[in-house]
Order: sequence, then C-alpha cells, then structure tokens
Amino acid sequence: MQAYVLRRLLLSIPTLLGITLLIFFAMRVIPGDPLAMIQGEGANQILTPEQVEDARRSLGLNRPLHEQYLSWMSDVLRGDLGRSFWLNEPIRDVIVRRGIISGQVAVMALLLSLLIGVPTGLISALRRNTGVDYMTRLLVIFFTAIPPFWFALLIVLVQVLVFSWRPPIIVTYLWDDPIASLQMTAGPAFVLGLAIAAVTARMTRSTTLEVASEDYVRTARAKGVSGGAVVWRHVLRNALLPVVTFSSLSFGALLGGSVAVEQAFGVPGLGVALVFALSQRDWMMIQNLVLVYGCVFVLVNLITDLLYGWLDPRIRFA
Amino acid sequence: MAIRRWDVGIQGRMSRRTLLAGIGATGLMAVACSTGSQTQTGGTSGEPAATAAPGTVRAPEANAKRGGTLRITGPGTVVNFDIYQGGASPVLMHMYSTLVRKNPTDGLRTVIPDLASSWEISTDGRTYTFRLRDNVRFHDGTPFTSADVVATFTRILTPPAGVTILQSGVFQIVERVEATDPRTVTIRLKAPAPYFLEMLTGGTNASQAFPIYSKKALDENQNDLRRVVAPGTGAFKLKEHRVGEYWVFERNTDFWDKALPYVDAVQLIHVATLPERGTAVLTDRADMTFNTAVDVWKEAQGRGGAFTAVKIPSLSAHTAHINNERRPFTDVRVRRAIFLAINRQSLVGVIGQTENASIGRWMPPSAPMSTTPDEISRLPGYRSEKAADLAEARRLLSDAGFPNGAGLQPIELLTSAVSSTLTAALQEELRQALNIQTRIRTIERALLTPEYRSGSFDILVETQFQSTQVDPTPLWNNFLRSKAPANWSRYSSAEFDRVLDQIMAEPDEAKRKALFAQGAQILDRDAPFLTLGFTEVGTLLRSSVKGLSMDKRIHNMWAPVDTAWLDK
Repeated sequence: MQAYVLRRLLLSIPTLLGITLLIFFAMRVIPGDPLAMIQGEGANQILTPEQVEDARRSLGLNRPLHEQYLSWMSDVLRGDLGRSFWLNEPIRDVIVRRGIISGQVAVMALLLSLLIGVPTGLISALRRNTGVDYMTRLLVIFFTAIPPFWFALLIVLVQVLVFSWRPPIIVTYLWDDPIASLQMTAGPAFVLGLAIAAVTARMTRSTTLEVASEDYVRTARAKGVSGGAVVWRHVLRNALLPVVTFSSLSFGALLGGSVAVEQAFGVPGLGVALVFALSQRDWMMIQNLVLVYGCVFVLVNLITDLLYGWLDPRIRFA
Repeated sequence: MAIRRWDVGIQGRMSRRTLLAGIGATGLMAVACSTGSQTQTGGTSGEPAATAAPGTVRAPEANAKRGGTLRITGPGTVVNFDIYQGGASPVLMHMYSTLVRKNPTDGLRTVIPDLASSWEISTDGRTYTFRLRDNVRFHDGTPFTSADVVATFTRILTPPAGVTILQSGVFQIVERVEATDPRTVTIRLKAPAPYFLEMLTGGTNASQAFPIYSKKALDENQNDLRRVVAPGTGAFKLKEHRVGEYWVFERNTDFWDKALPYVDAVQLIHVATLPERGTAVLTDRADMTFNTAVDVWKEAQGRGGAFTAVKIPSLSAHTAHINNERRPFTDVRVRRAIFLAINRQSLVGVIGQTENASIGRWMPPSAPMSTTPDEISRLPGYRSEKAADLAEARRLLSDAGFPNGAGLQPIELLTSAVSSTLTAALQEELRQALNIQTRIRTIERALLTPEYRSGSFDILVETQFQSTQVDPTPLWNNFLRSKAPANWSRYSSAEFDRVLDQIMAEPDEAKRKALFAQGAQILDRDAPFLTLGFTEVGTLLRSSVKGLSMDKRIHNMWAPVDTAWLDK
C-alpha cells in the first residue's frame, strides 16, 4: 500500500512538470502581458517605450524564458510562489485565503450532493417505474439541464428584490463567525450541490439497477438475505464505485471550476481569482494557480484510487 | 511682478475682480468658494449652508452629524501602493491630500485650497506660486513642508531608475519646481497651461491624482513606494487592509482641519462586479457605491426615498477610432459620410442597455465649454432627423468614388467583448445607411492596446476617449493633436493644431470657449473618429449618506469623502 502511494506520487512529478511547462510557455505565447493592461488603463497613462522597458525589467520579464522558468521553479521548491502583479499580495496568501472559501463551498456542495444524490438515485432504482421514480427522474433531468449560473442569479435576484437581503460581502471564515460564513457560502454550495446531486442520483440509479441484476445479488436473495441487507451490503457498495470517481473529480472541479456561480453570489473564491488573473494577464498568479490545481487533481485522483480499494477489496494496489 | 492671485489669506476676503482673474487662470474651473468669511451654498434640499472657515470646506447641510462608518463598495485592489506608479488612486486617495482640490459640495465645479492655502499665477500664466498651510503633519507625525512638494514633483519630472511614473506625460508641461521657503513652492511651466490647476486636483477617478508624499518616505524607500503605504496628510489614515477584500481608513485626529472628517471611518469594500456593488447598497450591506449596473440603479430609483440614485458624467466616451492612414479613410469624404450617416440616438440606446450614456460632441457634455445638448441636437451628424444628413453622406461617398458603397472592400470593425453589442449596432448602421459592408473581429480587451499602437485596424470600437478633467485641453492634446501619444486615429491637421496652440496660450475664458467651438467645428468637418456616446456612472447612496452633493456633480470622482456624514 505504502509502495503504491509512493509510486503514484513519484509518477505525478512528470505530470506536474508537464503542467508547469505548458502553462508557462502558453502564457508567453499568447499575445498580451501585464504591461499591456497597465498601459491600457487610461488615456493619460501612455508609457513611453523606455518606460515600458523599465517596467518590464522591474518585473523580471526581460530575462530569457528559460531563466524565468527556472527561477519560478526554484521559487516554487522553496515554497515562494511570488507576488501577484495586480493584487499586490504574495500568491501563497491569495491561495490560502481564497482556497479556504472555495474549499468550504466545495465540501458543502459535495456533502449536499451525496446526501441528496445517493438516496435519491437509490430510491429511484428500488422503486423503478413507479410514481416516485418518475418524479425523481423529472427532478434529476431538471437540475441537470438547468445552468447553475442562471439558477444562482435567480436566487440572488429573489433574495435582493423580494427580501432585500443578500449574504455578507466581506469574507468571513468559519472560525470567525460561523453563521456569517455559512450565509456567504450556502448559496453557491446549494446551487453547485444540486447540480452535482442530479448527476449523482442519475448515476446511482443506473449503477444500482445494473448491480441489482447481477448473479451474486440474486444468489443473496435466494439465500434469504433480507432486502435491506442485500441493498446495503451487496448492491450499494458496488454501485457506489463510479459515484466515488465522479464525486472525487467533481470536488477537484469545484475548487476551481465554479467561477460563474462564485461570481453570481459574489463569493471571492479561487476560480474568480483565476479568471481575474487571466483577464489581467497576471502571469505569476495564473502559473501558480494552475500548478495548485494540478496538485489538487493529482491528490484527488490518488485518494479516489485508495477509496476504490476500500470499497472493493478485489482491487489490489500491489 | 503682476500677478493674478487667489488668496484665502489672513484678511480673509477676496475681491470680485481677483476672483474673476483666478477663474481665468484655471481653465473654466472656477477658483472660488471658501473664501474668508464666505459661506458655502447649496445642499441637496435647500438646507441652510454651514459656515466654512477660510480655505476649508464643509458639508452643505447645517445639521451634519459626527460618527459612524461609511461603507463604500467599489474596486478595492491595488497593483501597488504608489499612486504615481499605477497604485489605484480611487482607493488610496482617501488618505492623501493634494495642493488644491475640487469642492465636493458644489458639484466639483470649483478649485479650492487643500495643502496650499493660497496661490498666485503670474500674468504670463507660467509661474504658479503656492503658499502652503501651517500645522499640517503626515500620519507618522512628520511636519509637512515645501520640501515634500518639491520631492514629490521632482520625482515625476525626473524619475529615478526603476521608477515608472505614469503621470510623467501630463507633467511634461512643467519646467521646474522650487521651494522658495519652507512654506512656499513655485512651479514654472514651459508654456501657459490654463488647465494646470485643475490637473493638480487629480481630476476624476481615472488615476491622475497628484498626492503629496513625504520627502522622508521617499528618501527612506529610494523613491519607490510600491511596497509601502507611505503616510499621507489626508483626513483619513489607514487602519486596516485585507488584500482583495477591504480597506478601513480611520479618522485622522491630527488632521489640519479639526472639523473634518465627519465620519469615524471609511470602509472600502472590494466588490468587482457592478451589480454586486449596487445590491450591497440595496440590502444595507453598504452605504454607497460610486458605480453600479444600470438595472440595479433603476431598481433603487424605483424604490423612492430610501435611496439617492444619480447619474454622474464619467468624462469618457464610447468611440469608433477610424484609421485615418488606411484607405478608404484617407479620404475625408468617407469619414465625414460615416460621421453624418450614423444614428447616434440609436447607438446611445444600445449603450444604455448596460450603462447610462448621452450624446456628446468632442468633449464631455458636462464640460463648461461644451456645446449645449440643445445645440448638439440640431447639428448635422448628431441630430435625430437623419434625412438631410443621409443625403449628404451618400453624396460624399459617391464623390469619393464609392456610390452606394460600391467598390469598397469589406471594412474590419475591431473590438473586444465589452463593446461587441455596440459594434454590431454600428455594423448595422453602416450597412443600412451607406451600404458599407463590414466584418467584426473580437479580441481580448487587453490586446487592444497593441492594436491601437500599431495602427493595424480599420475601425476600432472601444472606450478610448477619456478625459481626466473637465477642461478638455489635455484630452484634445492627447487624442487629437498630430502625432500625440493617444492619437489612435492618426489624425493630422495643421489647422486644428493651430487652434489647439491658441487654446493653450489663451487665458481668457470667453476666448477659449470660442476657440474650443472652432476646434469642434474642424473636428466635425474632418471626422477623425466617432464619439458614440459619453457615459455616465450610476451612483447609488442610501438616503442616510449626506454631505457629498452627488446630485450636483459634473464628473465622477471617488475620493475624498471627508465631507460625508451619516444621518442615522
């Protein structure tokens, strides 16, 4: 087991290196740099070519590309992710500060999706072709089809126009003020959680139906095992394998991919930071955020594989 | 030396003649108010005015209360802490002062003292002598002297290596800055610039502020303040800053004007999107925002007395820059045909879907020397009745060799996503009115700057006609003078340049206004580019916010707010 984990971690190094190379050179190849944004700010902020060169030098952008890359890698290994061009803040601080918010939203959304999605899918499968199943499937299709961003806007509009209320706009952490913190993250977690729950329910239903028709389930029933025990011990455990994969990958995606919903609710998460950095050509921020996402996905994949082994002992790590 | 003088001085009173002379010296921005025992007038609802001491400003309401925290939503991120090197002045200017400022209580129409208690302008319009206030201290306790002014302005004139001053361009009109004594500073210009005093006020929110830094801070940090929040002399000082989230500026108890500010603190909350800024006010998460989305602004307006929703000119226009060096636009008849044919009312309507806007000519409509809206509505090219303009436009196009658009190669309309709807509307206007076929190319906004610089476009639709002050002289110098740094259209007219030279040298306001009108006529004739609509920001306040006279403002300005008070 330990050797397996170690091997997986070692294998992730070239993956991460590839990511760093790709993002570093991609940012240099596409047109525009942070200085283009600074110059474009206002009519009277037109820099002379000498001023542009000075500014480029002060940002270290005049050095050869390989030097810039090696310097970045060296800083990363020392735990120094540099400073954002635009936020005037160490990137490590941005990631920690905003990562906590995104993490909280992701965990809440994931828990909600599992709490709603798995039982719903299971009930739908067990009550196949009944009224409950039809209603469940209708809701699942509805929440799968509905764009989370639109749904989020709808909620925000109702809050503001009907109740003249909106969540706090100043970031509050759980340990500072749990209620305010939950008010801030509940909206995006609810919207994202429902969207994932819909897919989770659909997946749970189909895999449950598939597993329920397996020989070993029929055998268990023939042996007189109670219905609940069959479902709990034999069906659900096996049916959950693809759900675990989906939920794990969803968690990674939630950390960085919920930009639109974060934006709709005004929650300053990592996704919003990445989009802002992209629009402002904040190279250092983009590079390091992408690297962090890479690390998160590698880690999530590893944890998923370990969960597989726990759920299905037939899978061996050796 | 014969001088034109404005002095809040010890005698405390200024003659009408002196006042008028001062007005002439500032390029239509009146230099007035707060004089001697003069009282402020105005107020949003006709309340009795508060009495102001010499050279000071007060909230216009007589019953201004003290205390509370003013919560403002808006942009709160800064690239660095040095305002001259791109640090966001709308944020940081809450804690700094300038030599002179605009009066927040009369709608920013007049220039009033700030760190300079008085000033004199030589008759040749080139020497400005500022008398500085006594008993002013920086937030770290350092006394304020003329050495601080000289150090601040010298750094703009001759930036040290590694320091990039964005204001250097507009400051090129300054020849030298000298301290006559610890309380007097003289600024000598290379040539008369009647807009100079207004320029020193910091203009709009754009980023063109001229805060006075302490020489000590500059020396201690090798003239580079990007990484340190240098102490200011303003009514507020920095108490707390959580990066990317909020700033808290607390009352400076050592402020030279003991009556200001009224509130104990200003909390500036970073909210990136316009609708969010407004909804925060609607839901009482904030007291005010300087700019929110049109829909939220209208919602607040519809809710009546609980909110104050006002439109304030931003001094910025949506533009279609026509490349004058590219065929067929080398022919002035083609440019003029387009200028006449487009329906500005329709295009302003398109802009109005996302932001408030109005039709303007070649300068912000709120500029005192601007053609009035009524006059504009009767001018060819601007009027809503298009029949005569279209006939003339088609004739011009035909004379240029393109009857009914025939023979014209498809023209590229370059734009960014921000202006894509407006560009599509312009495309349709050109097709319907003149049968000019165009194709739209949309690129990232960040990439437009290189396109402007290289001139690799036919027509570029964006918002690049932005004035940082009401006096449009710098705007014209920057965007319309031959070979000017932001002359994106590559317009070149010796005749227009001559008029602009005259405007620069002319101190008399009436004559300047006539010259501006002459310049505008030349521009209408030559149509170097198109102004499609001047924007107005939707400012939203809870009705408890007083003291800012937002309804009177002739342009947008996001700091300072030292006269604001909370009626809670």
